[in-house]
Amino acid sequence: MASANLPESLVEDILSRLPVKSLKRFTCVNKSWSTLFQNPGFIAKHHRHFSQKNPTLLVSHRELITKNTVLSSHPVSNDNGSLDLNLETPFFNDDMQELNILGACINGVICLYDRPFLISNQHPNDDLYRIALWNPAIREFKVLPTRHVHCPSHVDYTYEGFGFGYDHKSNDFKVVRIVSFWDDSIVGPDRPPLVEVYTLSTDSWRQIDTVLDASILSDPCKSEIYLNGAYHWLAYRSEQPWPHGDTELIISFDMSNEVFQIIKMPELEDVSGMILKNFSVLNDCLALIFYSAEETVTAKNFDIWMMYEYGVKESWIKQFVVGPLVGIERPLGFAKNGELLLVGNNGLVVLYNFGSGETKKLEVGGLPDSFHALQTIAYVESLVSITSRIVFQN
Amino acid sequence: MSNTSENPKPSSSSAKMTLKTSDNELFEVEEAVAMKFCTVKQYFEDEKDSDVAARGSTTVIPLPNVHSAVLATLISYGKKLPQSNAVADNHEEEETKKKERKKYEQGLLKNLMPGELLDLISAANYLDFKEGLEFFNQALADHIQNKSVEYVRKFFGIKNDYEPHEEEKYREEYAWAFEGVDED
Repeated sequence: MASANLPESLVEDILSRLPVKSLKRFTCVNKSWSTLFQNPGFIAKHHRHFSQKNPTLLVSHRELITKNTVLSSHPVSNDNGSLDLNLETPFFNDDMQELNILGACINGVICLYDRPFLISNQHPNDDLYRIALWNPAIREFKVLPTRHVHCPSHVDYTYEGFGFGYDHKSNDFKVVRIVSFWDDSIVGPDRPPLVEVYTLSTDSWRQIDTVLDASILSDPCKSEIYLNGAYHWLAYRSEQPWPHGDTELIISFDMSNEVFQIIKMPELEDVSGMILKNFSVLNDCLALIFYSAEETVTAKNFDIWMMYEYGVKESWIKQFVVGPLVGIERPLGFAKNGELLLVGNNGLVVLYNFGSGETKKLEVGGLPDSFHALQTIAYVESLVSITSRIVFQN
Repeated sequence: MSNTSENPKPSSSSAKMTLKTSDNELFEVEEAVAMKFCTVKQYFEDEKDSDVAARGSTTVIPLPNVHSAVLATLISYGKKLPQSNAVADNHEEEETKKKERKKYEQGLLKNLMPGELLDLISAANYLDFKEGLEFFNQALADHIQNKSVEYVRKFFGIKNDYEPHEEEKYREEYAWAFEGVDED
């Protein structure tokens, strides 16, 4: 009979299959195991194992009046979940305004941003915006340092958008922020937008010189995604001269090159009435879900367009038409397994399966009715430590 | 592996090979299954290179590191895997086979003692049986997932090299990781 002395490589393989909670506990087993669990190669191998399984679905829910935001987790995307108290965001709970998730969960890390509930005409104060990086599996979070925007007092500014991503060349997490200015007293072109990037390894912001000649429609809940190492926003550009209308487009920010690029939108057929859209990712392609904004409509149809060749406008194809579906408020995006996620009028998440054409409600145990689903992301846990800045090795 | 004067049969889907375990038991195995043990495959391929081709004799491959009970389980598991030379099934047949395999796997694991798992992993590693290793490694991971630190130390024969106060401090800081653990 073989003894319990398995070769190290086998023990490592076995350990890389354990969930983070077990590994955090087994850090106590002995010192070499503790060292192993901090090894970037092991962390990457462990994350790869879990990435190959179906990811957990995380859903954020917002209370209509207080704007309080909570998260629920669903181990397999179509399982009913429960309010996981362990997912209570460990910060911002005091006077949270509007908590949003930026983009996607990357290497087990989620970026949260707390947007102040501004009363119009109020000048946005730096300190009211808070961004944090969070690894829920190891219960670690880091609030990003604030950085004041310097500009003359007669000039107003606003945070146009934020993006979160990972630079795979330098193995670093980054957050980008865009500030735009306007000055009513001056006639002429506005100051160009200010773009700054935060990198986790330096724990600081720096300004970058880059051209951005479009305006971002900042809304992490429906018009921002992360794909191919770049953060994307829906945006528009005002065509000169007036009165030509705005051109809608997609702006991407590559986390490695730190450069903005424009991606063109699909050309829709003749559309009457107002159209809303949701920006998402399906099968690793950019996807747009178009639907009618008419309030009176009880059953909705959703046109799903996919950009098959990244960046190539002609490769936009209207791939699916879903519906009519009854009782749906709006789409949320796609689960990793390709199911369409929507919010019902009652605030619950609804899953639509393309194969069967069936819908299923996602119940959340313990969640009061006054909460409505806001965002969904696919979540895969990792051991990546934000505070000790362990580099993640691919 | 020692060279023998006996030679392998010409390769065919029903060809059999004989494996000899550490306790001198002989197992006759179909080639398709035996080929999943890459160590055996290598041995067989080495034999093919030899010039002499005698019909009607079977090569006996010695496996001095594998006990019969362990080999029996590995062969049994190997048989249940999709065979590489099998005719492609239609979707229904594939689903039925998948369900059968799942049932077999569950039954297999239920009757397995944790110590036996270690033996199976050791043997699968020695035989370079990738699918078996994948399956049993995962089974072992599932087994220890919710166990205590003490259990795992004992299981792997690992000595604790932490000072008591170090360990205490860690347990306090990460108390959440120690919740809901199986009783030893």
